[in-house]
Amino acid sequence: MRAVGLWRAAMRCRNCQFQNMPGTDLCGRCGTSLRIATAVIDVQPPRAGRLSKRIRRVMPRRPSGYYDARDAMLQARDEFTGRVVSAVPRLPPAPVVWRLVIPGWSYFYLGQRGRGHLALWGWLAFLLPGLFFFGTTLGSILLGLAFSVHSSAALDIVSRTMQPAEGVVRQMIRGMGVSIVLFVAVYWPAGWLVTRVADAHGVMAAASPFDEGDVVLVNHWRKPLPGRVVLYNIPDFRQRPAVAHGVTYYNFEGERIDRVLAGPGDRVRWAGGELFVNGKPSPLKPLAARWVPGPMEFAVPADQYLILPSTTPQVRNVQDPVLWHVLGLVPREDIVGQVYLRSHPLGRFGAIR
Amino acid sequence: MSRFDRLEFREPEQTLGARGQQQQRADLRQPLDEDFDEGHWLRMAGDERRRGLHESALRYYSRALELDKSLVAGWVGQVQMLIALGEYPEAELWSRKALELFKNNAELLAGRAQALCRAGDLRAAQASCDAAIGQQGMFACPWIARGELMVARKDALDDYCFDKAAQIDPDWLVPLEIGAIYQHYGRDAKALTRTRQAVERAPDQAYCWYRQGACELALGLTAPAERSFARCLQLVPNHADAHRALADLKNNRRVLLRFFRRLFNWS
Repeated sequence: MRAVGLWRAAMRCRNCQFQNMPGTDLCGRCGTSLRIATAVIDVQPPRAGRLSKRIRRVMPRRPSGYYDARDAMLQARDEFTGRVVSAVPRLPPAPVVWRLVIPGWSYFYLGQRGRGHLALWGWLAFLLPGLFFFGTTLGSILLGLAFSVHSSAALDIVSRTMQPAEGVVRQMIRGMGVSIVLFVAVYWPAGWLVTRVADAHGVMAAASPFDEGDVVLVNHWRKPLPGRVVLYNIPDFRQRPAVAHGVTYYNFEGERIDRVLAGPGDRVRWAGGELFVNGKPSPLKPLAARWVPGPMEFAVPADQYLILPSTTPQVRNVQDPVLWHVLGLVPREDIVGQVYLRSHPLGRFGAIR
Repeated sequence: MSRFDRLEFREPEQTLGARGQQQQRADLRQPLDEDFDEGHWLRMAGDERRRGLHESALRYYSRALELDKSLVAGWVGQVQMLIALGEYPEAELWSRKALELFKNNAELLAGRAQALCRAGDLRAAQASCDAAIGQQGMFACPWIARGELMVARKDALDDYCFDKAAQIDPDWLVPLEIGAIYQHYGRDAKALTRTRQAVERAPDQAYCWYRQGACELALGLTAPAERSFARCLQLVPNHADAHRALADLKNNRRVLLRFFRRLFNWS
């Protein structure tokens, strides 16, 4: 019986008298430890020494001026903070806002050069390698980090120039708002612009002269003039080649990279590895010219271009003029843009001509 | 000589005389300190506190806590005794430590507020006092602390706070401690009023009479002070402080008498 009584007493908080569930260490109401009774705690209070007592007898309490001065300072600080908070605008000033486009610029404008340098160089340290490795996983990570640095700097500037957000939720909302505005106003247009002139395109399947994993840059705004290497969508075509056993189909679709050999209205002849355009020899050749059989003749219709699919392995050395005609004459709208640079891997970095 | 020859052992019973054996049995019947529980030491501390013996009350509170550290009353008592002994920084430190164990305990918060107030940090004392009053339950301590804060600030609301404390706890110790607070801040007239209330409630308590005498003495009412000290000595004939106060009173009167004799050239 006594044990039960002790156990019940142990479950009852000595601070707030709350009856806790058995097995709990802390009081559910006030958080006081239920094991204080057996804890190892020094219960002897500190005592004033003889010298302290003498000093206190002469000077019974700390000079009232100390706390008065401290309270006056605190009051002045509170009043000043109140004035500052009430004077702080709800939005940052316009010169600060538009300078947020480049991290650190607003800091320089506000005279905070240290923070400005930190934000600017931190951003560039991620952005430049990110652009260099654009189109790869590493590049995406680095660009994400650059965006993080930029949005952090912007949030800091906004928090400094606006009234402070009270509460964690409001701070989070403000942080997300700044990131979204920054993305919509800066990174989305900039990303769109960059992908117009330098759209990173990964090669999915090895096809000489490209290997799997190569990254090439495509300019969407360059016209598909003869001689330029372009990214294009090969015309959809289904071929049933003659094989010894069973039935086999080749489906031709998707994106390819090859050289534009002739423009609309040209008459072209390919024979013996040489190209003749309108009866004249042309120096242009497909990227993998040795796999293109001959002789073949083409009359390029209006709004179409001749691009022999030499980088498509299934048509190499296939003596089928119909197939080459179907796949070689590409409508203008199927040409995505000019491929001008292989950016990855670094061992094969260089211009594509 | 054996190496154990110098060790001391209890004398064998046959070497003790009859009187020695009786004494030994009497010693065995006497309960040792270890035989008492924490409730006993708390009661002892309370008794000593009511006698105005704060130093020994503090010791008994500590002894009670040695047996059971979860006694909130022990921690509160220690803090209050440190304040009564004038050790305010130590009281503040100790109340902070106790508050780590008993979070937001109203009496400990009130004790801390009192210690801070005595040390002069009224701003922190106000915060602690507000926290104490905001806690659940009705305690006199937070209202006493609030009243002390009002006295320190020379605010007129002190009476209301102290009345509230006296209303919550009808113990005679409450008006007596209120009187001590007034006296600490040099408000002897109010101190006397409150101390008289304590005397009316507990006229058999020597400490009440002693405090009343001290208040009267501070106000220059020497004759009533002498009577109060005499009452105190009637109740506790060996009350050292009352003896000393009476002696000082008589000594002062003799000084005055000597002065007048010299002034008027009396024989």
